[in-house]
Amino acid sequence: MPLDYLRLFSPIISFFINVACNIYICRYYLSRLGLLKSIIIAFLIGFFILLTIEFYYLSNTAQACLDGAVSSFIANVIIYFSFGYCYFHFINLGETGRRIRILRELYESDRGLSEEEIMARYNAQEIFERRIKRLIASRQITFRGRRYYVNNSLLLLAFRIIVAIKYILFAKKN
Amino acid sequence: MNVLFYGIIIFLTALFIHFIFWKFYLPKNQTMALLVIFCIVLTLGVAISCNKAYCVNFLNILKPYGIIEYIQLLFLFSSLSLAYTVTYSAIEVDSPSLLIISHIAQNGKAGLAMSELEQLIMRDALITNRINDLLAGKFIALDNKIYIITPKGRVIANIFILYRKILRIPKGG
Repeated sequence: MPLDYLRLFSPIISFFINVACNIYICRYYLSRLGLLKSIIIAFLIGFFILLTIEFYYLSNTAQACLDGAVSSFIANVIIYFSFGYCYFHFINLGETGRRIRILRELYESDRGLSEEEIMARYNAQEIFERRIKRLIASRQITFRGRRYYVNNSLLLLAFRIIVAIKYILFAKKN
Repeated sequence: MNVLFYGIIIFLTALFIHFIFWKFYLPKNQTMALLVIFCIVLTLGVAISCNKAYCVNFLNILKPYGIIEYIQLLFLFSSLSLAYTVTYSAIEVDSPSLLIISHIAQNGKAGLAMSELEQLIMRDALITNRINDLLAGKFIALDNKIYIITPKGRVIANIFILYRKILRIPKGG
């Protein structure tokens, strides 16, 4: 019975280990690895913990119950991946989110800011430069002869999926 | 098989209701509406599968049984719903990174000149639209042409500032 509960909470335990590892790696190795690699490494460590718990459980499961145990394993992997994905989005939001950046600018200002003051601190030029720098650093695009080119980009695939979903939801083609 | 099957079925049902609802009426607060749909569908889905009156197992797959399986079902549905909700925020607003990639990709092998890309992307609407979103969500308020952060906005800002301090990452955007 305790093994059943360990197994039940294995994706949650693995997720917290993922987060703890990410915090550790970011605090001490961020300059060497960068944020994206630190997230990936921490995710893989958490996934390894999940697999360890799951294989231990499966090896102690009777043959007759294996079908149910395997589908339960798949469910746990989906749970872990989904929470990991949410965590990635949370970090990414703090890194690239315009609303979060605007909120933080207002938070740090004692008396609030006018629209012009917000634009002076954070504007389209800065957004553009940061995004381009990030896209080049992650090899999503390259810059040659003063022109930009897309590589085999994961983000391009993400964009096409989002366009498809937008079309289903809003019947808009862009 | 039961938790995986019923968890995915309930989640797909919630997505279907979400797609149909959006066709007829686009809520003002789309994220909140999405979360409400997920909560209602989960509650109904679990209630129906718990009810002994509904003894027939769907496609001969046994319903979840016992507290452990129902908790796992809850975890599965919650994680998928949260993952979809955070993805939806990228669908709701135009991401500058995705816009950059799509404009460059449209030119194929010819690529896109720096000046052309700047003209396409660098618009003040990138900021003003987000300011309007924050106003609509009551995270900020406008007082005599000055934007001030509300207590609700302060909570959100604090979460991200604190977490970035824990990670020791500089200001983003």
